[in-house]
Amino acid sequence: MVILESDHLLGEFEAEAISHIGVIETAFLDMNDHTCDTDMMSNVFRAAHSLKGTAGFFKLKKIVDVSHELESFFTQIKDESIVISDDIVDVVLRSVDCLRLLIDNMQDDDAIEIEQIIKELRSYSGVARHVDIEEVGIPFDFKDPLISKALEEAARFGHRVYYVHINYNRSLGKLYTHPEILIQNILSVATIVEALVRPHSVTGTEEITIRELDQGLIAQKLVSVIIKHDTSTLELLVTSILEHDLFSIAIEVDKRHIRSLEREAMLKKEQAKISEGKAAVAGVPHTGSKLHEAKDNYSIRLNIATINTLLDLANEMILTRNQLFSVMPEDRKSMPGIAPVLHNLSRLTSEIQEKVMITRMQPISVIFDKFPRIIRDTAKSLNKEISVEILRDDVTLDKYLLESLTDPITQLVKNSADHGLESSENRIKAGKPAKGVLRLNAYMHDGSAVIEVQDDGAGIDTEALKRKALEQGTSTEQQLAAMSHAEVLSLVFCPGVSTAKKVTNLSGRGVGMDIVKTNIESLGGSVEIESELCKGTTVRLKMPLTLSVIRSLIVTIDSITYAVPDLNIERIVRIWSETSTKRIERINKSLVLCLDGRIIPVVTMNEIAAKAKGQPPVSVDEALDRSQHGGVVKCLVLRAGGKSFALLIDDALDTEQVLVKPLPAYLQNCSCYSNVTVLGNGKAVTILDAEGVMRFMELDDEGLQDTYVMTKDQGCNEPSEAKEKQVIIFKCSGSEHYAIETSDITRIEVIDPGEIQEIRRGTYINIADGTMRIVRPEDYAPVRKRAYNEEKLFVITLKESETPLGLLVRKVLDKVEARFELDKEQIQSDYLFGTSPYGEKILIFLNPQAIIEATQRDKPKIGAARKGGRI
Amino acid sequence: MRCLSFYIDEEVFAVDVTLVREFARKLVVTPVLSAPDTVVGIANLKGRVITLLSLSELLGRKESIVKDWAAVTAAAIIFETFSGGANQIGLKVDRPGELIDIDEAAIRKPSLSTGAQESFCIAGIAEVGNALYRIIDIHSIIERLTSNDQGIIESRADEGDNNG
Repeated sequence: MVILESDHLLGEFEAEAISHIGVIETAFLDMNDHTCDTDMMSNVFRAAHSLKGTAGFFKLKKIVDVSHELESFFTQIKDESIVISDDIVDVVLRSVDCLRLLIDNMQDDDAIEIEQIIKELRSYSGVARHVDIEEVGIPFDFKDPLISKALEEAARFGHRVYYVHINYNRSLGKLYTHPEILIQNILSVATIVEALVRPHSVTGTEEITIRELDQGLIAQKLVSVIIKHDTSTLELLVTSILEHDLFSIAIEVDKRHIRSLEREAMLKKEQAKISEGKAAVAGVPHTGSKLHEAKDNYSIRLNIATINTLLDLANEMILTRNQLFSVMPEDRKSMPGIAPVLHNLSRLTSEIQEKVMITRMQPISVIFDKFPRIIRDTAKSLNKEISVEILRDDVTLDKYLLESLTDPITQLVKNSADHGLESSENRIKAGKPAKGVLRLNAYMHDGSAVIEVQDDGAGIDTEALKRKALEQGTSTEQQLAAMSHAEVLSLVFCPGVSTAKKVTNLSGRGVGMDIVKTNIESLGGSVEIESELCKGTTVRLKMPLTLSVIRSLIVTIDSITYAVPDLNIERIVRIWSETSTKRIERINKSLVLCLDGRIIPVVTMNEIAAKAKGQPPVSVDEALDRSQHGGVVKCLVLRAGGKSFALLIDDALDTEQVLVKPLPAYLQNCSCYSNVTVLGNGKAVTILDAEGVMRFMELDDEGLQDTYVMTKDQGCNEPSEAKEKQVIIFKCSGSEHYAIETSDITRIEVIDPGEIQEIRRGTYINIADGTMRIVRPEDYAPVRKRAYNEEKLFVITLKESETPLGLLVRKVLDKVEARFELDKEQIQSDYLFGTSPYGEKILIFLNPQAIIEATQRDKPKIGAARKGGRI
Repeated sequence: MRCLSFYIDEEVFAVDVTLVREFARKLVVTPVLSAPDTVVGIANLKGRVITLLSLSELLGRKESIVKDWAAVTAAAIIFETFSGGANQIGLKVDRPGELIDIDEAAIRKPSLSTGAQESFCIAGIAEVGNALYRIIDIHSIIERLTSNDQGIIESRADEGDNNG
């Protein structure tokens, strides 16, 4: 049992130790061809050394012993007295495992056996261990048994050996440090092995050697000798855990007076190597690693809770800023100079939020680095030859996301190694290299991170997959025949097809693929699979960069606000009345939405709440009644896990980037919320979890499809002329009334006719971001066209046009919602949908798409219209 | 023991002041319909999301039903975080009282006649001046809500099934 110095420090040590053994493990796993590069060896050596040093500080003897043995093992690899082979890599990996075990059980390592691994490590060397130090120009005798014993002991704990020499001269006045202070400084960080004082006197120099095991005594003796003389030289042989620079700072003695003996010995060796011409570059990695060391010092470890608090505060700051901006407008004008200050404040707060957010991001290598080991172990146990390739750009992901990705990726990697890649014999038979390649790739694409697990194995046998799907009854023969290659491949994600047992007699792949898909989708990502028989398989995960911030639609339901992640929203549907393509129907006791021939189950928040509380839900009629506002029912079609459902809402307010916060424990009685968040207006709201709602309400749109077909007669698919539409009614130069659907336009603007410019054959006006072409509706309808002489005109901007296009009209009269019976016989034109009576008027319905197309072709308009019109 | 007193339906309660983080006067509450009735809703307090509990519901009485949730504000006692930052709670109150000193020896156990619902909320009763303060046991409430609320919900679910 170990006496613990401090739990807090020990925690830090644990994190540090794990990163050290990570360095060693990665380095040895990367050694594919067993070549050892000097730079890398210095890295692993340093890792083992630091581990030993810090463990020594905590008196974790077993870790010290193993890492010490590992360190000398590495030294021998560096010296090339041990040649790296598969066995060597195995031994190192086993030592790493042993160290990991020791670190995990730091508090109670009595039961952990380390003799075996130490013996193994030693068996490779066979050479007696010795402390390597440079002895030239040092007045101490290292062959002295007492000194060498002390140094060996120090080396076991990772201490370094320094030679310190100081000239004392009392006449320096202020610069003279009292020897007592100096000795105290030294003793606080180091152990004095031996000291030599040479007082300068007229009679010449005598030498006083002081050697004491008791550090207090040594200090006393030293001080008493030094203060007797005005000038003297003090030479010390000390050992310390600190590195050269730090040691110099700690004892407040200039670096020039301190020699690091081990380092000198190391440098000398490398020098020798260079001169031998053996390793001309050996010197370079050294400076390189030095730089690396310096860089390491710039990073600190932070508790994730600290960052989260910072993030909360940053968001609160943004909120306060927004509040400030909303109360300031009146005062803004009366306070000169305030505008730039506010602007600055605004910019800074946003920047702070962004920067804090970034601190949660971690490189993808955090998880990728685990895989060489996993693949190596899997390959060994399967007796396959697999080489691993890891490609990664600087992909960083949110910490939480990374952690949640480890399992799915491990699953995919194991699938590839186990089922994807063939055995060496089979590979050779297939004319492939004996060694299979498993490639992990991560890169950024379209603002999301893409992670690929790729193998050059057997690929997925789609025919077998089809057979399996038939057997399972997940798909019918007709369905399968109509499927594309990609669609067939996606069958591996179906739970029925991918249970382990059933898939092994397929191409084997697909174990737990449905789980992978579910997991990835619950993180807001997506999975794709590509496979070619005999060539290999690629599984591609597309992930959002962070889970901390998600784009959400803010909706109100029964005047309560909710946030719905954009990812899940398929579309927002407004239903004016029972039209054929969009309507809400009742099946049994529940509601369904008929949308373009699809049947989608409808859920109300009320039903969810009632189910969560175990109360009877309000009747569907009441629910429908409640969500009707002026004859309009709005609903969100949400999609998750390949299924859809509709949620009745009051209104959609806005989209907002929201910062997700963990769901309080008190709200976890139903799976319908994923998180909570605070909106820009300071309101705390829940974030709906579409997948959770679906699970909680046991919704299944596929099952519903069948029920519906049985009860109804596919009425949804029948097109009908009578549609409820919202239209804008306007007038041009004639007396005719025109109408255009509001869904086809983006906005209506009032313009001054003076703004209209004629450029070549077209007419244009200036808008905010460039020019917009405008056309007269009369050009497309067989009616008279006169010049406008109004003081102001209206421009209706059309949607779906590549270049901005507006209709120039005289007067916008009204916006109405009604059912129009379109008559296509009265006026025939490609540019018109037809006419319809409305009240006492006859409305001419324009076909904006045709007009847009005509302008894009830029043909003579009236001619084309007339010609196509066949009047 | 230093206590903060507060009023709900003109009844006076008290809670150990060392457990109280602050008193918030106008919290904008967003109700969570699916949560148990004991949860009034969630609210934002300085960037943290607080779960607001209803003492009336905890005591087995009904909270008055709110028609329009768009503009509901509540006064609440916000407690220190006991079990993780995400689970900070507040207790919806009508108005705060004052700080009082209660002699711990003078605290009587609630009488047996108190309902079962009530007994886990109330740690004891103390008389100070002429008023009788019921002292809230917030730890017991939290424990009950986080561990045992499943039971409450299930039993209610049974009732619901019978009705449905």
